[in-house]
Amino acid sequence: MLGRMNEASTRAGTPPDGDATEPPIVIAEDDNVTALLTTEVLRRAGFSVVRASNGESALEEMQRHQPRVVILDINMPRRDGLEVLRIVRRNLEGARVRILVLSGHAQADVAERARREGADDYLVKPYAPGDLVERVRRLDAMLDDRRRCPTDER
Amino acid sequence: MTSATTTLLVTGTLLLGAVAVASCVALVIHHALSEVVRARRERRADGALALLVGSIVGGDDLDAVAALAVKRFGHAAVGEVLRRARNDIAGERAAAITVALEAIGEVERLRRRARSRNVARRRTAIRHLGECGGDVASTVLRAALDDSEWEVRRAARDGLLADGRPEAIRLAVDSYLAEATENLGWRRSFYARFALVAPAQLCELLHTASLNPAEEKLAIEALGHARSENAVPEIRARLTSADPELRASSARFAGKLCDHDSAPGLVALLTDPEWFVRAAAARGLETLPKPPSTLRALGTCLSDPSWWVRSNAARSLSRAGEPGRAILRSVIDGDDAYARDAARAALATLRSATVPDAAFPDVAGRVAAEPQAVPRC
Repeated sequence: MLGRMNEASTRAGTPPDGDATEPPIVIAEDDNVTALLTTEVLRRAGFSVVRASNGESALEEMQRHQPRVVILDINMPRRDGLEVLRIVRRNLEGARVRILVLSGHAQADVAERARREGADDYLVKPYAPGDLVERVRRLDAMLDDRRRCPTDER
Repeated sequence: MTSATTTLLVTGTLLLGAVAVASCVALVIHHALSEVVRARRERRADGALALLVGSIVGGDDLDAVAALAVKRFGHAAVGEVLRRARNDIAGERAAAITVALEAIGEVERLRRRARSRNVARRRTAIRHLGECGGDVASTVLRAALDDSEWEVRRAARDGLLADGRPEAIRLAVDSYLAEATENLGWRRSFYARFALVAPAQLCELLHTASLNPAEEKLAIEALGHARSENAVPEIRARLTSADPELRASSARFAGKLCDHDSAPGLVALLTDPEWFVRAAAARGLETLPKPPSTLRALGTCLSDPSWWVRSNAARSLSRAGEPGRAILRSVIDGDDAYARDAARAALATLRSATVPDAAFPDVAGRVAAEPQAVPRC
């Protein structure tokens, strides 16, 4: 079937105007079409992207790259998105990462569950490329705001 | 037993064995061939995707690249990639994909298949046409609403909802209402799609009061799950519905949508004759501001005959800061066993929520320093 990747994660090309020192965005998505389209949209916006094709490799990539933003699918083999969310949010380092759940249309109840598990944002497919980029930038900026909060500066 | 009978038995057994072996061999060959075909299809689709992805996301040469991809990888692979890409991408790029699908002849191919006598083939074609978008596909979908098979009609409705244009949505809704299906899963699925694609139109439909209470309940739930803020006035208006199920759903989603103005309505529902309405109201108040009068009303619910009402009231009180917890503590030593149990359970839950997870002992001590989750209103 089209779209099921092999088990290994693959790294997207470095963007022409991306900052190589910035941690990449991790896209956890088993569907090839969605993963490549999302990667291309973000790459064109200047982000570097690392892809994971299942829940377990998503956790590994997050541990390896310490990303600021993760884009997470819900239906994935070997730990689904909700389980990944739960594990990440239990972990102190994972509490800092911003997670955007990208999921299909008829899964409105899943959006609610994802929010309960700690997703920062939920985007339903089909999405406008500009909307995705804007949300990712906003999540990224939220992380900076948090780092610059007055209690940290003291 | 005569030798003729023995010969007959042996021959029969050998024949049966031969048939069994032949069937097994045929199955193995069929499986192997299917795998080969599947792998080839995957390779072609992956190749087409790699070629098309840049043009799908941003290029103005999608038609030309799609035509090139068809030559290299075939119609089926390119059609599948473009349809699935259109499922993911909205806006201008979706329109460009539709044009490309029409240009490579995919829409026309599906239109012909939608006339097949085979129901499964017709349904698949209609479902795929729903993914194509555009006027040609929409015309076929409209005609399919009158198909003799419900599966085809359902696929056509889903396609028209995904189309998103007001007229297409109106036709899908009319067809759905005429269908009168009893299957709750399909009905929920219809409203879930509707609420996500066109929440404003679903609110308008609710506003006309043309739906029966059971359908209104599904519509309210779908809008609530979709967190549609347009739905707030409709939900608030149904807190006083004559139908208890509708009152309960409205109470639940008024809380989920954090509609502060519905707080007085929820407090009034704490004395509803139906236990599930009281329980929903108590739960709905969890995310809303709780002045002293609301806290007192929730405190009274701790003695409700229904376990759900007691439990939800205690939960809401436990999340009302110190004044709420003071009410819970005040009933812990009281005579009312119902209230005592509910308060104890809520306070115990509150305590366990602050205890770090034993699975992560190394970070346990640092968790407290992290900002705690707050209700998202």
